[in-house]
Amino acid sequence: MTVHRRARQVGGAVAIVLAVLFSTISSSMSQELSAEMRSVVAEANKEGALKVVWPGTLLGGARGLPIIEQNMNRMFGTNVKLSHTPTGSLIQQGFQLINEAKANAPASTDIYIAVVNVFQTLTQNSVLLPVKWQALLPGRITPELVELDGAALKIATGSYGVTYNSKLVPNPPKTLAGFLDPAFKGKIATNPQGVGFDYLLANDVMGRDKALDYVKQFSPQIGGLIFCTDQNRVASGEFVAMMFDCGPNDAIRMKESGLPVDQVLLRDHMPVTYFYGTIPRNAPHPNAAKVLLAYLMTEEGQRLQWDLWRADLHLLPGSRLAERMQAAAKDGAKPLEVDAKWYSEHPEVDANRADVLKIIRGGR
Amino acid sequence: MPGDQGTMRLVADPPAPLSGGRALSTPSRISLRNWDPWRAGLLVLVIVTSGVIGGNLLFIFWSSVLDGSVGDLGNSYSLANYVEIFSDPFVAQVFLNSTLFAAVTLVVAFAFGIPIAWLATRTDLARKSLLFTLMTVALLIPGFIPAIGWTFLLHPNVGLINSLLESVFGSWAVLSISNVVGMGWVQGLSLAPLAFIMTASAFRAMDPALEEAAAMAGANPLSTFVIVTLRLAWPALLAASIFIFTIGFAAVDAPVIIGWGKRIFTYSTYILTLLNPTSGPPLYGAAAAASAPLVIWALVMCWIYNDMQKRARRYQVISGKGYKPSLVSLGSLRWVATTFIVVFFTLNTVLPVIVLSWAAFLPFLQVPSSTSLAMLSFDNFLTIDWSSVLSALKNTVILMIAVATIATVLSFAFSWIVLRSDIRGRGFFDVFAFLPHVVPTTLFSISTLLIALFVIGPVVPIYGTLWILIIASVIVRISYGSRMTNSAMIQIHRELDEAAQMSGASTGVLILRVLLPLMAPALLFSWLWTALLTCRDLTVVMFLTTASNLTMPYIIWSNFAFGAPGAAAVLALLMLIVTLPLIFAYAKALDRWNLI
Repeated sequence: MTVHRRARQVGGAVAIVLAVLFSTISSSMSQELSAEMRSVVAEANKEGALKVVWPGTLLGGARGLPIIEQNMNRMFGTNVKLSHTPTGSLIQQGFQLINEAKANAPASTDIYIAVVNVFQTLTQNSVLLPVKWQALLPGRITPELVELDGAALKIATGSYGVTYNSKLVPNPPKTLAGFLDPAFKGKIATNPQGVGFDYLLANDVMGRDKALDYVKQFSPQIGGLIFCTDQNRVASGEFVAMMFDCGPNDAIRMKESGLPVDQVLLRDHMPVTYFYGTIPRNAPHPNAAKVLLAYLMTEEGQRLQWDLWRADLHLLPGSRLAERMQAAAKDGAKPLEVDAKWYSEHPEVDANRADVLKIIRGGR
Repeated sequence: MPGDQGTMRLVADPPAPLSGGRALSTPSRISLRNWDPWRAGLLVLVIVTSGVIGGNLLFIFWSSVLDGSVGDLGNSYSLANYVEIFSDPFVAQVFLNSTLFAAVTLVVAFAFGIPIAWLATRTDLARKSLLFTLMTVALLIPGFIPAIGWTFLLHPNVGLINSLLESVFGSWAVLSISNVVGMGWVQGLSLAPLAFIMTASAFRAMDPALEEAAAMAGANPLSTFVIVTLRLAWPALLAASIFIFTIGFAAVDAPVIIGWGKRIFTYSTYILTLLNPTSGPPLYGAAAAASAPLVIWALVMCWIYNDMQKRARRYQVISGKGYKPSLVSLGSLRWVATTFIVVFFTLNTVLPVIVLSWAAFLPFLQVPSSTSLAMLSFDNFLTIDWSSVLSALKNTVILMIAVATIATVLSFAFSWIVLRSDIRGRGFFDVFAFLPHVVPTTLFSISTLLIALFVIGPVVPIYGTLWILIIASVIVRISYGSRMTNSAMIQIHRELDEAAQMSGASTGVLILRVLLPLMAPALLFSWLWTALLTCRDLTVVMFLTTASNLTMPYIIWSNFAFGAPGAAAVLALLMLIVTLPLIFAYAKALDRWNLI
């Protein structure tokens, strides 16, 4: 009983110290805010709410949102209530946003986490709101982190590699050619969208002919098609590897849980893509959305991202993902940065993707 | 008295002969010339619903010939989508796979569903209400769970049964679920309850006089079952076979988990790739064009079905005289029947529930091992956003009740107009009622979305509300409901209508006092199953859900599809636990009212 009382007293004292500390930090952070950020914070407080729709595992999903909400409000002195709705597909969500914009209906989400492939359609339909991100967090958000005239902000990196079963393949190959080994015939899974293979089509990567030649040689190795998030089927041994995955996040989490899974980044093909924070023009709470995305770009926000879903932005100092990528670079891997600019400069990727998909899906 | 329908006086007289429909005098159809509020009301309901369905179909056809996206200015029209789809040999392979997959699905569903329906309705088998209850339970388990479970058991690389077989007999004994037949087996098992429910009421309503006559003439039970029972139940069997084959053709669960796992594409997974391109807008026009063969197939099936309905008198087994179903004594075969049912439930319900429970306590889905055992925890329960779940649960219950009620009322209206009225072209209404089943639900969902946004949005803002889910769900469920009510109404002899008319009864009295009591079991089954199908439906909600109209299937799928299968399993179990009492209460009610 005494022990419990003592524990409560200690707990209470700690809570008071933390509250004082947080309010001090909060007030000092509020004072340091740029004029642009202060204005956005004021508007966000008027909005009072933020409704976000994204897949359940992104940013920790339902588990992560309360933490993000608490930390964001503390850091910026806002009082914004966050609510999260899980979605099933980013592509479908993008289409939903386009239709909502065309019909002048309010957007169903205040923030859309986008990937590079959907930008063309979104920008054609002027769905996204341009934001002066650098003015919100001067010095932290640099020009290289912002694309599409402020409509897209890089918030996390996705480095594509091969997720493999470390029990079945203790020493995975580190090149594209290595995975053509007959020992892998019919044992590798890939995704039905051909993610990762399509970038080989770029003229300055392999070009159409060499890329198709490689995919044809790789086709017999494909045992089946699974979603990017189905790495548990690699862990179970149904497939010895998944080439390509959509980033290392799940492989890292699984490995930490004790499952025989890891990711290898290939020396001769290491696409580096991004998760972009975007705000629809017709978002009901655009300023609260700006505050949240700005929070994710802070040092604390990046650390929290790593804690919540094992992702961060490798371009920012202190990135954990950058450490992995640097290790791969030391091993000879050359990153291929696939951002919105690269994508728009390589129309041959979209133009020839159907040929890659035909081979991957139908073995043709 | 068990089986007594209560409202009719029953006197001995055989029902219409199997081949003798024309031997009886032609019945007088109920004429729409004599208007009364009931007739007018039913006709208005049918016309409005047909208009909504027709509008959606037109929209889908329009999008299939559109070059570009809906809502864009300056669109042109061409047959480019059709040319692109049907000039691709891969599509031919896809249709071949789908046909074989749907055929195996149908065979498996009938092999289990029909014998159990017969046992449940025509024999003295004990604990029938429990049987009915259990048949509905499996329907609440999301379709991808059995597919994962069977992969755990029979995958050539990691299947537990295969590991056992290989260790005992060697590699030659390994079975594989990873082929079209294996996919059909999994899908067929999950659809067996549907075959059961679509035929049970027909078996139940059947007059045993013809079976007894066959037995008196020396036919053995099997011959009697094949020659008499199945032929009398032909309308229900045809309706169920068309319905289940079509579901199999468009099913997603087994094809995504098992089919893709072996690079086998079916119609549904092909459509999925069209709607989820790696870049650019979803190819709705191409998806709409790809469904053209299904629409043609549906029209042929509708023609066959309508032709059968024209000869409906042959199957009218409930007459005003001598209708009293009796039960077949199973005797020593009771144990065989019980074993058959237990095997089915083990495969259909117990295994998936075990997989579901296993997955609920794991961070990642995996086969049982010492590593996975060490990872069991309650973490998945803590990562769920329970406020969203509560909201989704409430919406799902509202959706289930609303859709089941509206669809059942509309199905009755369609059946009455098609089978009991003399309105010209009434057969077309039945085509409208059936088409939503064969046109992919995905396309109906998208057309509803686009119509809600671009056509009626400014006037009737239903986008983002439960109403849009209710409307789309009613459209896609009306085929099932109308097959059930058609089958039930076909079996009711028109002499009952004539007797009521002769007694001066209005249409309202005829419906309320004669048809509804006689059709009560079919209507109740239809209601429950429409509710259950709505409860597990994913396609409609996937396209029409926003933050303000969340449903449980949507939350379960989004967790499963984006790396949280454990949370998906927890929620699926929750849905099962929440719905089970309702199903048991329903079974109790059926038992109490002698409706089984």
